[in-house]
Amino acid sequence: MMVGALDSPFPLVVASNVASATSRLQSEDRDAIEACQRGEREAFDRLVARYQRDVYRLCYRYVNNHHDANDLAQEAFLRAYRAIGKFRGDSSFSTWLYRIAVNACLSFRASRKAAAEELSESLADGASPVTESLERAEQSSRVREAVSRLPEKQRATLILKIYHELTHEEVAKILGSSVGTVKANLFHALGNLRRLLAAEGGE
Amino acid sequence: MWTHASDQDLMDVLEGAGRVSAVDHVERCDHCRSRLQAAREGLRLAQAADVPEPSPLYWESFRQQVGRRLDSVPAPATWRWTLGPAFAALALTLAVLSVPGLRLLQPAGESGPVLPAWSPPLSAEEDPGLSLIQALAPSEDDLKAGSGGDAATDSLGELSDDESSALAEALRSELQGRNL
Repeated sequence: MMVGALDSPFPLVVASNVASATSRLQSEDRDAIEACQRGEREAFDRLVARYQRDVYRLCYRYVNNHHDANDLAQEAFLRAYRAIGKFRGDSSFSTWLYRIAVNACLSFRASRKAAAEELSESLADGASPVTESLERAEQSSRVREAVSRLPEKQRATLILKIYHELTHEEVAKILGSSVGTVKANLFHALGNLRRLLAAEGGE
Repeated sequence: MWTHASDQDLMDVLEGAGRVSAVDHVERCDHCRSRLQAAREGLRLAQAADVPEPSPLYWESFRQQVGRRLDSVPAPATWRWTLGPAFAALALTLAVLSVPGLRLLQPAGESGPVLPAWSPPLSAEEDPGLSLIQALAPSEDDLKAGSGGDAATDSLGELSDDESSALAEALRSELQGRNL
């Protein structure tokens, strides 16, 4: 039996109009995808317009800067376009697209690993004390930086679950793991994020 | 035996979807309550961190950049649109070839004699067919008269039935045993 004894930080969205909107969106996605598969390039523009913001933000969470996020988001759409012929609709288009974007980000980070480690060290050395009057933007930047230092699986889980509000099942599909693992990774990610920021004097 | 709540159970509790037993445990266990509190604090921090929103003009520019890059990418193809027609063509070919009257696809047991794929040509001296062609070929006079290649045909047309039979027999004996 499930209970809501503690206040849930995740809003449960059950309104029927939202379900209807989701259904319509999936239908529009399906139409655009089938058009792409018939060779209608312009149909892909509709998918780009619909998902560019989500993909960009996902990439930004990974790399923590606009320039790389822009490149990676474009790369994700290019990869999706090349592979759209293989899309069979086993999952929603957004889930499939996020998986491509996550893979693009992981490849990018793997290639920049050495540089990223140097960056983390320099930031850790130069971290200034954080007070309650800290600007929101600066605080956001520090949190994003801390998120980018989480272990890969924890970071991916946190980004997809918290910032993109996907279900545990969707995150599991994207990351190729089980729901139980997703929950455990998310719990570790949140605890580690708290510790990272506390260690830098952020909280 | 006293065991702490699993990470998965604690995550469920954090999301307000924990089992009664897990919630009860957290209320009584300092260790688990502390871990839950740290995760809740981490969640609060994570949710407060926004991604800087680019200018609205950026999205239009982004679409155009992606569009330009897509223009240089070959159109995606699916198995339905590429292999489908290929399979259909193959099926049609097989259907045509297996029509009984055509006898192009014969069962292995009924196959005819196997002919060599290639036979070395005979030399001019050894080839008996050349003398026959020589005899049938029009003379220079025939060509000058404008009869051209029709001269041989005309000559054949003038043969009697017996002469035609004799010529056919001569051709058969000359060509017997040769792979053409």
